[in-house]
Amino acid sequence: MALTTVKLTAGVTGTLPAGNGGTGATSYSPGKVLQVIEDDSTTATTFTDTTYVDVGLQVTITPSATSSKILVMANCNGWKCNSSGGGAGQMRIQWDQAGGSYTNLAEYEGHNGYADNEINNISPMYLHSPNTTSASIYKVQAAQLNGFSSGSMRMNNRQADGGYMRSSIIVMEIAV
Amino acid sequence: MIIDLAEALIELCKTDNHKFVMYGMPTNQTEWEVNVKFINGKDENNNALFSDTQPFTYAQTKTKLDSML
Repeated sequence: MALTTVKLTAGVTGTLPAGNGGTGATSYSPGKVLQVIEDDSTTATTFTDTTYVDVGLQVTITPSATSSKILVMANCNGWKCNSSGGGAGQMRIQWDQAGGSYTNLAEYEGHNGYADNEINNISPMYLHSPNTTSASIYKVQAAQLNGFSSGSMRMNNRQADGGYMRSSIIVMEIAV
Repeated sequence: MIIDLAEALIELCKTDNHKFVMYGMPTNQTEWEVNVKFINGKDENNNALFSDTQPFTYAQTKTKLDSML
């Protein structure tokens, strides 16, 4: 049987019907990324308490529709524990709308060793439905985990070349 | 492990169990006052509350660091 090839970029037009495995749609907007905002930091943050402190990762985004979802992705590098027994840190993503008080969206934990090669990376993510078109602030905070109180923890630990690691937060508005 | 200003401050804080957060590595007293916050409590959402005073200066901490190197 002869094999027929179709040049998809030139030989196919129109919409593939749902019955043939297509969507049947002539346009498709849900899931489209409407905007992306990023912040990053190479400033080391060293903390010694179980109360939360800001780590310099914060963005403001104004959703274009109340139905939009906000995908929050943080990449927190160079988590280092300075305690001979190792330790654990905790991190949370917070949201604030138009100058109100911050709401905790999600919390995460990570355990760290003591040696220089036991540096962790924590990457919290959260899909938020803010239900607003007002400016929204998302930020990352960190603390030592309860039960570990000696020594310190650090985000953006120093690298062998003397520089400091980079952490970032990215938010995307997703049309629904 | 790299000994730096934060490690020196941890040593100084052990006596009275002071807790702190340090942003970056200050190089003088002005930077120290901006980037080192001593924690004296927490709010209902477990956010750190910071003291208006600092129990240690940059110079004291730098002296401690030099003695550790």
